[in-house]
Amino acid sequence: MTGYLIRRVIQMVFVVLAVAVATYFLFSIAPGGPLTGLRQSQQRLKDTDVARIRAQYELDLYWPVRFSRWLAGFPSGPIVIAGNTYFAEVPVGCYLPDAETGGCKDYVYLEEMPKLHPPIKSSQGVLRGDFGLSSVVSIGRPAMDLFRSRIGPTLELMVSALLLSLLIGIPIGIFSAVRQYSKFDYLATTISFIGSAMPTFFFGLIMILLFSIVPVLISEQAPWLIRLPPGLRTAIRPYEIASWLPTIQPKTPADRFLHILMPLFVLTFFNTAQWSRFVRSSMLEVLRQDYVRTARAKGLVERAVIVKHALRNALIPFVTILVLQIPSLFAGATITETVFAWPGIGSLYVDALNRSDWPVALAFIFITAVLTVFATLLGDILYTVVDPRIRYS
Amino acid sequence: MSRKTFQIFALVVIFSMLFTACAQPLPVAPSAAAPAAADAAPADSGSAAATGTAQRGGVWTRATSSDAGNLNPILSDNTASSDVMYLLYDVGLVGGDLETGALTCDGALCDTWEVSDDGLVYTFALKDGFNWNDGTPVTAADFVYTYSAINSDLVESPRKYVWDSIESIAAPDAKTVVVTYNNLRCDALYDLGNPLMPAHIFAADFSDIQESPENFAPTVGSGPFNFQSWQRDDNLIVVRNENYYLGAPNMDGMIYRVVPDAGTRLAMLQSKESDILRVQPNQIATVDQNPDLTRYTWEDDGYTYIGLNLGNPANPQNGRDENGEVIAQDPHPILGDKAVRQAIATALDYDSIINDIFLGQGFRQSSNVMPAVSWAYDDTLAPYNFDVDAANALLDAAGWVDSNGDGVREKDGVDLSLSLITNAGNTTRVDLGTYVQDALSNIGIQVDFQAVEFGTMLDQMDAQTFDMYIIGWTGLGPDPATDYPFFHSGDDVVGSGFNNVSYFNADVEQAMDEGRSVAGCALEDRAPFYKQVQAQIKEDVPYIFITGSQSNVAYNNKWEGLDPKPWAASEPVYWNTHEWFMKDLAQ
Repeated sequence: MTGYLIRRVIQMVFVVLAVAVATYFLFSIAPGGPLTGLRQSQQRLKDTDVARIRAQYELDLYWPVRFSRWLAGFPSGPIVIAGNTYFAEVPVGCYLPDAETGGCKDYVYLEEMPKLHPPIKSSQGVLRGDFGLSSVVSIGRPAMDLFRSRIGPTLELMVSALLLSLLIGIPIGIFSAVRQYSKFDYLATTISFIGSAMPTFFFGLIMILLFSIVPVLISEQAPWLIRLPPGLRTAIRPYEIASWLPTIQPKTPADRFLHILMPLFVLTFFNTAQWSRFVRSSMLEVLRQDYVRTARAKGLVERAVIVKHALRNALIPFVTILVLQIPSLFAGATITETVFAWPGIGSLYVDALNRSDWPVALAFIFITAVLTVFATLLGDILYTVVDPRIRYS
Repeated sequence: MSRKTFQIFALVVIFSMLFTACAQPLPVAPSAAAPAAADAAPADSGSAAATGTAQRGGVWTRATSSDAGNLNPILSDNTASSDVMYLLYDVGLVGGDLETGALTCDGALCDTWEVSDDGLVYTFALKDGFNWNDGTPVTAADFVYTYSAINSDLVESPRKYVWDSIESIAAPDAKTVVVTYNNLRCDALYDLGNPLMPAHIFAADFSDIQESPENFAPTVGSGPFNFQSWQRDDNLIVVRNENYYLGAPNMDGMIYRVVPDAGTRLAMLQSKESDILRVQPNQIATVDQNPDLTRYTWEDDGYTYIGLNLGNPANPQNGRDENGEVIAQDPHPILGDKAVRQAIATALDYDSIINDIFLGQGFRQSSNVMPAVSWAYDDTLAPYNFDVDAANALLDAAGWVDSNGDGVREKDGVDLSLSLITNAGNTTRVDLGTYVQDALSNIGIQVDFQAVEFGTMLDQMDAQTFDMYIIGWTGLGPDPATDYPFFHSGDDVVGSGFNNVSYFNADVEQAMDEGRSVAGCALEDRAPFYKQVQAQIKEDVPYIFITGSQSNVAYNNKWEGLDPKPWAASEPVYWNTHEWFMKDLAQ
């Protein structure tokens, strides 16, 4: 087991490194970027201004150099060993490209690096936990800072949605399997098909229309109708939701509850549909097993057969799926968060991609990749715990 | 086991509740209990329902697509930041006329200006009555400080370009500013209107500007509002400046909330969570149905056009050589023929385009000067009209005929076949491209239309390897000299120039040069040159002007006193916020 773990951890390092290289490379060859349209919107920029702005984003450096600075904060200048400077004359980028020939008018040399790209303005390297500065979404703020301020809302939404959907989805799945082809099973199946088939953005918009916009439109005729806030996480000023309810004060539990209600409902509905389908099929498989028949033959009550013998075995594959939810707890729900303006990590990622904020987008992908790799490992280890027959060597 | 599971579940639930409970400190909500509230109360304070009387109170909420950044008047570098900045700092040396955009002293620090005979030295006399919110008067020293700071090596201002043509600035006394130019650029005068920084707050040697806490939490400003609080990425609150030089605003304050999604912003307006929205064309019908909303439409300073490459895309050339001499262009095999360009311009049904593709949000445009710049705009110049017969006749006369009956005209063995690109994702432009492809097939021109990624398209435009592209200009500003680089051979630079269509007309260049360098820069002296430019550009068709941009805002009509003007400094609506008030204010 120890040998297995060591091997796995080494593999993980390579996988993460490969993901980092691949995403960084793809981002650097992708057309567009933070400077796209700059000259179109700032018509009086000169070539030297553009070069200066390019350098602010480190886009004057060649991408392998940029990548190594992003990953490890290296090189930040010429290499000095025992007072001798090495590689000072190595060009690491092009400050002023020559548009006519496609060549370069002014190279960046390693010795100029401390002056052109001082450490204070650039990333110390992802390996040291520094993902660089946001270039568009929140100019000049460390990307990590943005994630730190967004992780709370995302966890709040995702953890609640996960717990709720498990609490609802698992019993529905069990019941559907035990009473296969009953009226309840058909109803649950229909609803869960709707839940998995309906895009969350559409469902979200319908919710906003029904619970935020319509109640305001008919507030004269029906002042008692409850109106929910269409988005965001908290209010700033006190507000009314219905004539018979007291005014809601901002940042109180009631305010938070009203704001989370719609996104939580959408996510829970969607997740419940998935979980109940999964538990149902897993249970159906187990219920056909010989040991279930044996348990019944022994004269066990049906309840004990289902809970002790069937369910525990049905939940084994479930563990894998559950641990793979860990990265998504961090990543958030991109679409639902965007529709409800929920200030979480998912909507941050969408915003960063839309506006070419590469440091933020890269940080998101990198952290998600690391979490996914760890979650997979955790899942494999948990397998040995829930199913003693599984052994790694 | 099930009890254990329950315990774990309970623990997780409790932890997630703990997480939720640790909230950030509360931003202080703006309150009506302002010290001077009593003296502002109207005489008939009993009837709050009476409209037309301004009462104190109310908070304006605005959902913006992105968070603001640096709020310093010389460091702010995106619209989200400058929208807020103009509420905090609104005194500039010069301003633009609210209706015409022309340079003026109305609403600005200057009172009058005089120009030296050579047109290079501008002497501004300043007005009294402007003060910072701490009571300090705004003087010539603030102007000199602000502009010297822009030029300082210690400050990374995105406005360094304002010094391109300035030689020196000076303040002989507190009420006089002298600006000396090294070359005459009439459009550069607008650069003097940047909102000023309070010189008494920052270090005289500019050393603390770049990292000043004032940049993200300004304490001393000149605008109608004072900064109160900012929770990055979520909300920003400004409150009434009791010392505002035009009188303290009626409303208590404004709240900015960051809502990236356009649909959610509309939902917030409809549910009265926010008070204003920049309305997209496809949202207009929804907004107009709502009796609680007022929509304001104005003709903006931008347009959508089709750029036609006059140079040969197989052999892109610069417009001028190193010595500044004009290089004779290798003409485009098809679009080098003016008759073809005019035929294309005549073959498009502009009214249908504006109604069906732009959803009515546009207006006919004849040439490069916007009607919003009324003093330079030639309203007698008629745009190209839709006339298929005339377009066919133009092509026939130029020798382009379909001799082999395949539906495509040819001449000297060259098929009349062109490529057209635009950026995928902009559905309006993609629809327009599809329409153009169809319309031109009616006159025997084959168009290969492609929607490509924006960056790819810009690369092709810069490299001048395209036949035709669809794009637009926005924010052209109040001076017609802004588009000088679009049509000047000196900016026909392969790889980076603005004149990527390789347009060259010596008469146009001369008129543009003279138009922006008339001594004194009087509008009536400059106007004839721009009228000449417009007529010639319309005749030469380097661009096909599809439609001028029309913009819309919708706001909640519980607010009164709004008086949008197209050329207001930051946005049309926000120039007179101190006069706004809320109807039916409770209490």
